[in-house]
Amino acid sequence: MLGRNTIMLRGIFYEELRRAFSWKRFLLVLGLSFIVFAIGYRSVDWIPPERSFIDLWYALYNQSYFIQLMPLMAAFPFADSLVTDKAQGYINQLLARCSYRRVLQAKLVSNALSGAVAVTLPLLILYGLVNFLLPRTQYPLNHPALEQYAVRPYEGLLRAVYLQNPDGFIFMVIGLVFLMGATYATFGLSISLLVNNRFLAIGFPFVLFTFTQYFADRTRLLDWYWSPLSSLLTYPWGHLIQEINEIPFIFFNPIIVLGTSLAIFLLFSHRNHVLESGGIQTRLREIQRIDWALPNLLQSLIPGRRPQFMQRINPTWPWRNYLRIQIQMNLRRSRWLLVFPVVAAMAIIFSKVLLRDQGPLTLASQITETGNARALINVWDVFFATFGNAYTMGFVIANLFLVLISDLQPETGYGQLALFRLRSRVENWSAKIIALFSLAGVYVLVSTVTLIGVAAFQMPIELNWSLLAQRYGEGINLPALLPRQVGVFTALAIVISLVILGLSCLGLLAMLINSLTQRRLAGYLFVEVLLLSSIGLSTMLVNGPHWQMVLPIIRNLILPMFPFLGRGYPIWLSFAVWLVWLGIILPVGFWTTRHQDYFAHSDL
Amino acid sequence: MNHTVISAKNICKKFGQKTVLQSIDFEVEAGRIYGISGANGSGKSVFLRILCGLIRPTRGEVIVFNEQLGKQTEFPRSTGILIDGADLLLSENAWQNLYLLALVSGCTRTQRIEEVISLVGLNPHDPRPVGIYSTGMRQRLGLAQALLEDPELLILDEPTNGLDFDGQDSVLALLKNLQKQGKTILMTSHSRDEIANVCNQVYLMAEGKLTPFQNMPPL
Repeated sequence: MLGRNTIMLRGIFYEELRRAFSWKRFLLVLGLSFIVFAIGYRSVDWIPPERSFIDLWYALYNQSYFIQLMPLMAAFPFADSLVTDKAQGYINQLLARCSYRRVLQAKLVSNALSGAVAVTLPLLILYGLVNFLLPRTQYPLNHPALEQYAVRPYEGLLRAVYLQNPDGFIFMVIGLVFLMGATYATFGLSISLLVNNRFLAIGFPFVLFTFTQYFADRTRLLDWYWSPLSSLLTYPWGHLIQEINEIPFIFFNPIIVLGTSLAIFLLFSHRNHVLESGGIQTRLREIQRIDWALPNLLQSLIPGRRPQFMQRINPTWPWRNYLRIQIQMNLRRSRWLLVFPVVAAMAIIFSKVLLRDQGPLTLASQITETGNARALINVWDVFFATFGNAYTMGFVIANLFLVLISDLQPETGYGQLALFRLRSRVENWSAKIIALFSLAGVYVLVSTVTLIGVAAFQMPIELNWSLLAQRYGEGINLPALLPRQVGVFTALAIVISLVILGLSCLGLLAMLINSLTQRRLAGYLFVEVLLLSSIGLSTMLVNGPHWQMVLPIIRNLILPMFPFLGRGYPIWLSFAVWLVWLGIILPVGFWTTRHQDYFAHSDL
Repeated sequence: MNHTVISAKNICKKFGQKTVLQSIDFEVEAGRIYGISGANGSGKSVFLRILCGLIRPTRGEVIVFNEQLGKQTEFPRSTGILIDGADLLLSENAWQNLYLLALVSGCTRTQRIEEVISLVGLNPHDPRPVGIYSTGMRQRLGLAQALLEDPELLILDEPTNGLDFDGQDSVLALLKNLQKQGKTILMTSHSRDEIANVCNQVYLMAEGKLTPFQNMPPL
């Protein structure tokens, strides 16, 4: 804790900046960046050896997942500081020494700066590295051998700058990354005014970034200037600037995001709202306090509702009650509401893609399937297309699930009181495991129902495969022969059980890492990076030996053998891989829980 | 004759290279109030957590109610604890917080929940979430959860922390009253006042060592 004199002498801005540039989090971001660059380096080996320093720099910038992870890395250093300061009571220490307005201003500036520096520093280091690896004297600029590869912008204003002033081009890109880093870090901080949740403060900028990118770049439902990738001058995704009058549109995305953040600050940063009411969540809870005559089970799901159905507590089932509480407390968190808009958005996107791509099939079907009442596409196609897409699984479905369960471990102070009453560490861990599997089940089933429900607005619900599935199973991310071998509901059961098993295993690993490190974010970050790395690993193993096929995690979460559309090994092998995971993680988890120390949260 | 409730022998705890507790021997007899005082970071809370079974000692053994922690049982029976301030579910009201804990212990009645909330001076029918409680109110509720199952032994880490003067007096009076009912209490405190007024036996924790404090310094 800082002393009064320290703050008085150096000022709140200095102290907040010092905290924002905490080396631990910066080291984590730097480490993550270079893991991503290392993976990216392996996946850009198709670029001819005549590449210059800018070709390699720009290829790594575009082809690694650095840009996709940029908003997460920008928000990571300090965007959750308001939430943690409130939780730890540190905000009171600050407010005793300076005004609320100054504290918010200091947080805003420190967070924006730390976010911006966190994402530009790796790029600057990378700039130094590529200059060292590919000296300009040995690797001359603009070698024509690279022209046929999608490395350099192939036209437009960017191409001219790229070729004529490579250093200027790199620093222009880094400048935009700086701006976007500051913007998305600010957005994360503004989210913490609405919800008292550090994970949302850090993760929501990433969700927004990913979704606008999807809508603008992949589905083209939004114009190009909505895409954050266009603001970051990426290629081949993003937009190549053709004319000078397009240049201001580069700033469209950051202006919108920054404007939204500042609007949230203006509307929701009132001292009473932030410090006393506990944010929107508490207000929602107050609204939820209704006296409807609901069934007992539903009553118990309403926060603060006193159950009247049990006058005497059942003494025989402490473990069962403990398990019920674990599941109930997690499900009652408002973050679960995120599942609905996220899954609905995916349903809309994949429905649109399937509807858009059915044109050629329509004609073919009309010729060959006359009289067949079966629809060209139906809701199950949307389900299989969504749950079989590696990027959707890695960036959205698994990512969201890991966020939802990320605080099952380490145990909170209240959790420790419950554990103390349960009087068994093994029972505690087994309850956590079963709670995790149950939550995975609930998550996948709720996602499935939402997905089907939204897709049903645009296409029929049928009891059979659609024509598209039967003709071209790979078009909906299924092994080509599967729709001819099994019924649609068998396939549905296979995918759902595989995803539940996979997500449970990943969640278990995250929980174990949280227990070992006593950090809530550690497990989530580790597993998510592992999962995203496996997308890159899948590409690297394209020509690898046969036995390596099941190694990338992502290939065992979806049916296609990514990046291929087909599947080169039996489906049961993926189930077996997850069972091996369980065989390793479960004993380690039980050993860990027996030896684990439960600390006070203030000591962590 | 009083019997021994807690017997800790040769307790040592290291975190990496740092030794927090070194060779502590400690005994608690039934029906008495024990106080541990010491500077911040001296290891009081870690020691209490070891006695609760939440932290495993690097060396040594802890026996509570004739059961060795980590071998015969993992957590002591008939013990109420107040640790880590009062870390409660901020989104739930006081009653619900205690109800959920009672569901896990499975050894109390819903009526008892109202009794203990009233006992610490809070309103059991208050529908507001604990998140809007003051620090003192949360501390009282933390004490209520420790008393929930009417335990024989209470392990309390700074039970009067965050309370105003009246609140401190009422909690100390409550502890004395509980002692009269035969409860055994082990508490930590920074306040010499509390220690001198309430405790039958006082220990000082310094540099990882626990030493009996026979003569309290004058106030």
